[in-house]
Amino acid sequence: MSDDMLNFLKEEGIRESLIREVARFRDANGVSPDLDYRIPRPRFLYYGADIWEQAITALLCGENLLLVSPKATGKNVLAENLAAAFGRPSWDISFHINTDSSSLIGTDTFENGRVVQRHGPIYECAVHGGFGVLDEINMAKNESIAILHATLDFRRIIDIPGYSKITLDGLTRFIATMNYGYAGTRELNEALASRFMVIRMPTISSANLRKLLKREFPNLREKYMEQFTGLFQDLQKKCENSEISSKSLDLRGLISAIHLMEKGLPAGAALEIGITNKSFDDFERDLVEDVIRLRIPQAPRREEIFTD
Amino acid sequence: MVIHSQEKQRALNIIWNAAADYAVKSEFEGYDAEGRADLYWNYIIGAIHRHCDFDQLQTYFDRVRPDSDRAFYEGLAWIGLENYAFERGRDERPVLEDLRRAYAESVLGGRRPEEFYFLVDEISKAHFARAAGLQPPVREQVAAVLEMLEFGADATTEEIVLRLNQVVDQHFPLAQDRKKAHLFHIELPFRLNLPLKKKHPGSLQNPFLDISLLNVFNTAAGTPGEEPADPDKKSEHSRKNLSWEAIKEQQESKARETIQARYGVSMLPEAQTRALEQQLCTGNHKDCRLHFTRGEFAAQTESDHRKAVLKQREKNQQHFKENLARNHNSILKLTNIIKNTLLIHFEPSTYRSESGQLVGGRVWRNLHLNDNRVFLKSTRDDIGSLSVDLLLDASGSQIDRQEMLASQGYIIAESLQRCQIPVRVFSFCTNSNFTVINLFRNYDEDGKNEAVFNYRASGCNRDGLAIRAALHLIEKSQYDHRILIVLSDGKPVDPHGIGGNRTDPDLNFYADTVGVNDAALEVRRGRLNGISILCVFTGLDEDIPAAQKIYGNDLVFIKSAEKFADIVGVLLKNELRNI
Repeated sequence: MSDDMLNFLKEEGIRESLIREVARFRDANGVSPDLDYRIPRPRFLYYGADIWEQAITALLCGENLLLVSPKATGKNVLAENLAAAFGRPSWDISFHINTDSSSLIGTDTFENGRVVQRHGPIYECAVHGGFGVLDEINMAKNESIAILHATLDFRRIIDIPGYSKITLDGLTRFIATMNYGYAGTRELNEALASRFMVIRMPTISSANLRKLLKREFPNLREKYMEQFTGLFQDLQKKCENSEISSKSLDLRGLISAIHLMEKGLPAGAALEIGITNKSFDDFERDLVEDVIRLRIPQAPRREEIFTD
Repeated sequence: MVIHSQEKQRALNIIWNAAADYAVKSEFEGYDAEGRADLYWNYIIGAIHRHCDFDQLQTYFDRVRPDSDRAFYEGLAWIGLENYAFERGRDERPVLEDLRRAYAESVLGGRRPEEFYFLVDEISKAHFARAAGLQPPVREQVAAVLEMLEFGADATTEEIVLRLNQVVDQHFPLAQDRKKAHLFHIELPFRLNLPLKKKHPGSLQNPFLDISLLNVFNTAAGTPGEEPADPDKKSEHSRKNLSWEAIKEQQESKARETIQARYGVSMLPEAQTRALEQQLCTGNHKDCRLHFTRGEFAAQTESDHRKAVLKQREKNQQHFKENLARNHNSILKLTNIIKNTLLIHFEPSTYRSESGQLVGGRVWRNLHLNDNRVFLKSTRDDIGSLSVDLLLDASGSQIDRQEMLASQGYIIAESLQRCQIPVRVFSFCTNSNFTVINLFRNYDEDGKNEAVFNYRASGCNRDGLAIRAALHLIEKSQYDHRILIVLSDGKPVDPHGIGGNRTDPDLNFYADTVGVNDAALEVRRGRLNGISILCVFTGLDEDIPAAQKIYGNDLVFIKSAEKFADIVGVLLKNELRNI
């Protein structure tokens, strides 16, 4: 799999020297077979050579990454792709309002009549030199994740009061993702932000979206590929101009809708459930529908969209 | 045909989308007969903005604008432009063929009353019949016009404008040139005079044009049941009605007109304003009047007041820009304070319980002490929805601080908006017996905080009535928690006394104790109704006691602009904590 990733990086035009270093990193640091299942096998690939180079260089230098971008820009795809390229086991940790140190590091549990610690994902990741993906890190309260400060900075330790203090495995990296502007998200405080290298990810370009669709739907006709790409760009523009919220700007939704079309659902209905209905505001749905109607006919036949 | 603001916004969105430019300000929008935004036509309008140099096209529209048949000439141009936009866009958006076919069918199958005939319809129908691939029998002249009008994808804007002018000159000379005899004109005298806006579904229209036509109709032509046009009869008619009530009514309308010329047209229909007056101008404010405006002046108003507002706006903006760094910092600070305060509200409170999340370390208590509370339960208080209204004192006493006040209003509004708290901003002042409430931005108008810079101080201030009116508006809102912040110098002054008691000379002037007491009363009434009322004091030190009397402890005094955010932050923080 990782070879596939390296080939993909080559295709993307990433600097040869970087790819060689990634390969060296991977070859020098094997993964025990019982953790092999944790190495991601990405279904989607991240397109964007600049971002790839920034991310790879930072990780090679032992830094943690914070991927910041609006919705539907591929933060998690990139995080997963990075773990795959480096061939490391990964732990996905979704942050939420009630995330606290026990859910990250570990919690007390009762075992054979004794209170013992059950390790949390951060602990596991640290011990096994994995890649920890801290998803939507700004959903959690800053105070409750202050426990991570020592883990993420130069100290690279986890100190669990009453139990032990461990030092992170040298291969451990954390990749946090954050969306600025979702309801419920908050500012990341400076203390936490300073422990990451921050990559601002651009919204997906037409060319990259085309590549993505081509890979996902090899049988999609060129004419419709253009229209779906154009549709996403139109929505993106509408969102950037604050005419609609980002609810309907949903790349996952678009791809799922095309899958439904492939299964035979009429395009109008597929886009309605994949994109339009993501918004719960009547007027916003009207606006999104207008954008769709200016791109996709209501009921094209399946063979008009796909070659087989 | 009523066009709802939502449909207008929808039309604009389609235009922007097609123009790929959200800064486009289109004079044209397309609606169907029910007033719904027309997808196809708005796309065409947007696409024309994208593919043509609209400034050049505008020369054509400007040329035909003074003509009484303007709508016809505009309609004619759009037939040609539709062809152009379609040809340009058909490869990029194959769906256009379907949309055009559907539109053509609606034009061709459209039913119109037989007694109406519109030349532009005939041309349009012929055009869309051709678009639908039909070969309809058309008059030779119509075919000739279409030949010239149906622009191909490779036409340049220059060519389009040139050809449009040729069509007009050759076939439909403008009014000033119409003396020349012409085929169409001879055949169909007067027919061109019918307005395009009343035609089949999908007609293009300019909503402003619609309004102005309507106005012209009402005033110039008269409506049934109105006063007779004959001057003799008119004076007789007037004499009959010359009662005290009529004079009073006349004076009142005149006063309303004056106030509208000074502060902008009313945002409410007069009947609604009067109903509100009946409800609110009671007690101490009997005989007072209200004027609710958005500070927009009627197009024909070229008054000094309007210029003064624009001038003050420039000054306000300039002042804000001069202190941009500081103001920006204040916004950030205030935003952070509010956000953090709100975050604290989301802090869950955790307590030991008999159910919830098991705490491993406590299990022994159950085994050895029979304590069932070995679980942790956390509850989170939801504060519900919150809105803030910002009322700026725009009386003459603020004249030296106008720019500062506008900046402060903007900073608060912007900070609240960034915290996704709905905010409404209005100002108040009193002129003659009118208390003017000028609405700058409403709760849902995010991104319109700039309107606060339209703030301009003049006249007196009847704080009590203004607060009463503001509270009335707030009470109608649906939010769970409502906060009113008044930026005021706490110094009510209005030469119109307190209604109902004319014998006591002290009560003949709404100021000092009388004014302060009345305003204080209104504030207490609002608080009793569950609305938090805060004051950011903007006056002189000597007036602080009066302001304290009105607003109690919920008052802050801004000693230096640098401290503005911190001080207002503390004020809001305290209030939010109390929710």
